[in-house]
Amino acid sequence: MSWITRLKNTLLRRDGVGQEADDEMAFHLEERTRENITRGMTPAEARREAQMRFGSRSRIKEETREADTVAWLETLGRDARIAMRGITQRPGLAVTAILSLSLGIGATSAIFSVVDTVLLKPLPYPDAGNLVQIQESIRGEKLGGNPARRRDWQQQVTALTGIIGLYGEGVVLTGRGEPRRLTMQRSVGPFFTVLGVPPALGRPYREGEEQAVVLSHKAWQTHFGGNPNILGMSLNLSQAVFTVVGVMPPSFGDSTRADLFAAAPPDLDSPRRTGNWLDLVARLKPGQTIPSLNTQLTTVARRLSEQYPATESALTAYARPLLEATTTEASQPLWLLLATIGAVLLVVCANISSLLLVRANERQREFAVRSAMGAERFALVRLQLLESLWLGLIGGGIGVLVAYWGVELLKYLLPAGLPRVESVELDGRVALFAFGLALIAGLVCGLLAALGGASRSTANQLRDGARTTRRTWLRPAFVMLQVVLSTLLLAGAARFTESLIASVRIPLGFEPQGLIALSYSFPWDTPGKKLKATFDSSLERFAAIPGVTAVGFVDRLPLQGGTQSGHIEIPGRDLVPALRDVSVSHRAISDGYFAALGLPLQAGRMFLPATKDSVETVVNTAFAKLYFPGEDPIGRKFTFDRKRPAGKPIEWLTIVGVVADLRQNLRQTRQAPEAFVPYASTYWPQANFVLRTNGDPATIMAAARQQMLSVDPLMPIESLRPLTDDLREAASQTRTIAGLLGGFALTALLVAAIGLYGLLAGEVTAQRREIGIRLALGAEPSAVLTSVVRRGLVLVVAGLALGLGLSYPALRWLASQLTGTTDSPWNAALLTAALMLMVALVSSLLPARRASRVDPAIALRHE
Amino acid sequence: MRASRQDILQGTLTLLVLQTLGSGEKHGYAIAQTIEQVSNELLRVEEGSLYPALHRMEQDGWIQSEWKLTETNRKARFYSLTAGGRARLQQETENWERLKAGVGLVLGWAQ
Repeated sequence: MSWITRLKNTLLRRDGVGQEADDEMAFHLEERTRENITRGMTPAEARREAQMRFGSRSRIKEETREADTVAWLETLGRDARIAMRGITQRPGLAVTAILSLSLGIGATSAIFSVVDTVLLKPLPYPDAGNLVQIQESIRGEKLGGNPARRRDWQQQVTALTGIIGLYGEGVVLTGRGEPRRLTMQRSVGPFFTVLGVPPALGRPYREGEEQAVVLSHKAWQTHFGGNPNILGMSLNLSQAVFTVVGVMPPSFGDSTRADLFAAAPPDLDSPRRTGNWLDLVARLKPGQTIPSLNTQLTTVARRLSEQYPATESALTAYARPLLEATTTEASQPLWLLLATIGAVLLVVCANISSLLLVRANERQREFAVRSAMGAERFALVRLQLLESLWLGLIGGGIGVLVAYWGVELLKYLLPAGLPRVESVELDGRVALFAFGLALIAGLVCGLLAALGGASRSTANQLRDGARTTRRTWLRPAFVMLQVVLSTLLLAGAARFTESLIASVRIPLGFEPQGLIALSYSFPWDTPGKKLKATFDSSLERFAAIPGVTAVGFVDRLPLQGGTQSGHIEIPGRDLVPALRDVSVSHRAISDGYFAALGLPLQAGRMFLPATKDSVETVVNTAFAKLYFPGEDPIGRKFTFDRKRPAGKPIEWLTIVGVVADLRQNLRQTRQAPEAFVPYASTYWPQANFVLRTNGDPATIMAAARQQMLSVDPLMPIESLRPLTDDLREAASQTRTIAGLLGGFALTALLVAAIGLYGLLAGEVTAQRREIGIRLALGAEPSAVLTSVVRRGLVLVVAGLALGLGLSYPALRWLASQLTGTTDSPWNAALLTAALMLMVALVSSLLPARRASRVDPAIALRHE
Repeated sequence: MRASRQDILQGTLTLLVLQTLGSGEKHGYAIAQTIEQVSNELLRVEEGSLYPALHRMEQDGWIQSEWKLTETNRKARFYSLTAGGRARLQQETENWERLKAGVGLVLGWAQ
């Protein structure tokens, strides 16, 4: 209790407390004086006696105040005011420090807010930490979940409260104006129990309940205008009638972009053990851990393998946190960005430390006087710390504003595919982070400066006069540190850019100009016959559009990396492990696809339509080179069907042709093996058409839209655009990250250059007299110039060598992440070294020129 | 025994002030006067040091203060005991008795 009053007195009643003490003492003295007068003293005597009995009023007042307030806080407050005055007296230093700190703290906080929202914040479910993703594999090959197996897990794994299987499908909403395409998330198992989120409105759908659908908050708002009478409404979704039974809360949308949620059709949730397409999500029972779950999964998997050798021999399964599973891809680039900007902030701090150090040296005399007057050494250090803390806090405050804009900019720049990126915002956590950074930055800068600051005895300093020309090792060390960090950053950014350039330079294999892509999709339970009929009629009608020279169907467009890939087996051949583990991409196409893209057949012929007994395939050159080097691949067989159930006949593919290579995505820097099969031989309800055109794209796209209406008036087109758009999009993520990294690295370089300039300029100023004497004694100005430049270059070369040495393993790691290779990073290193030396030369030349132009007469008169 | 002379004096002052306030609220000057008079001027309070002590005791919650008018119609700060102060007085008195007895034994005043 009492400390609250004291704190209040310290902060709010500083003057009041003093005034009360004065009043109280005055009353006492008057009373005593009066008493003395009644005892017969003269007024003057009486007052003097009263004073003597009372003692020193100022001391008593001080002691009383101390009793009423928090003394250290008061001292701190006073020192903070003095420190603030110290800062405002040197506006140049203050502005430089605050500006660079606010940019550093702002950028770091902005990136942190993205990392926080995307990677760290729990998913929007209650006890989200207990949610896990379960990944099954058969003979070491990952596969999706199967409804019958899901049931087995649910019944036999006791560490789980529930497990659900999810899959998405596109549905078409009709009967409400234009047909609209919505995404529906289907589930098997106790969806609402496992996720723990009930609908905000209405009720959950039951397991296996047919024709019941729950809307996402967003879909409710955008497609139904937030209609309060939505419950019970009938929706026509891809020719099936559903009743709306509920609406999910808005926060649910942070984790899924689905518009609708419904149970999987009951016939899909069957005891059939073939077909693996589910994403498995489960909830741990309270008190259970992932390791204990994994032990159970292993046991149950072994049991299932024995029970169902035909479908599940060598089944394994493991669980990992759902958050980790959904952010694997995003996590590495984001941490990389955060680490980079953190290093930039460190460079900034080193620079400010070095500025403060100069200031501390300038103030040696002031401090000497202060300590001669009785100031404790600690009080002086505290004052310096307070000054840098002020700088940090003001910089941090402005930094939060910078972060606010930075977050908006990042949301615009970062790929929209990043999970939860749209809900990134500056919140309390980020503000706390910024505040912490500000405090740490302030403390680190101040401590380093104080450490290297005054250490000589007071007497010496007072005797010396103002001019102290000693060189400290600390400032050059700061400059070195900046050079080392900048080198690391530059080398990293250069390597990243290099791989970006390399990936763009590899020929696409086709001419994207003039290609138009059109996509639409059916629900997953659409009969294959219907798919084929619609696809065939689309091909026919698109080909008839004037200006279209060729049309092809493909299940996935090029440049859209895909999941349709697998490992192959070649009869009569034992593949070495390296070849066994190569992912071979698998595309289903129509005859016209190669013609539309302009891919020439290198050997053999195009495949014929698949029959019951044989499927023909065309492979790309990379495939032929990888698996059949120096052989004729035509006529050879292989299969993707490695995890086939025992006893089932293998589906062999016969190679009939070899086609030229085509880039599958922009990340890979090597051509990947690929196999093409007739689209009628597979089941894939998502259609993409490529139209090779030689007319006006807008007219042709309008005509394609028109033709689509006559193919199926109820089928909305998902996307219709020139393929060049895809190309731009595919490159955008790498380009964004390379751009940010490069920007950060150049910022660090700039700060380091300023640091080097500041150091040399300061030294030249401090040594003016010495330089003046040298020049007066006949030294060549050019010799003076080279001596300053040499000092700058020595520092930079040392820092550069250290930085490159440190960057070597980092760059090798980066290269392996980027391209899967460990190419030598020497190009990046050379570029970095050249840039660094150039900048060093410029920042040394300016002070060096000044030094060589020192006029001996003026320099000697100076001081 | 780490208690220095000053601690004993300060501790005693607290006891004296609490005891004095036991008979009703008083301002600082009156406290000093009362201690002097009651002790037949054997004890003389160092008047200035009374005030920091009073303020500390107030922060400790043993006494409370209020600005009021005196009989002579002047504004003064009056101190009075709180419940905590009463308990403290009890405890301090016992401490003092024990100290007196202990010192007495050492000095050989039997009983």
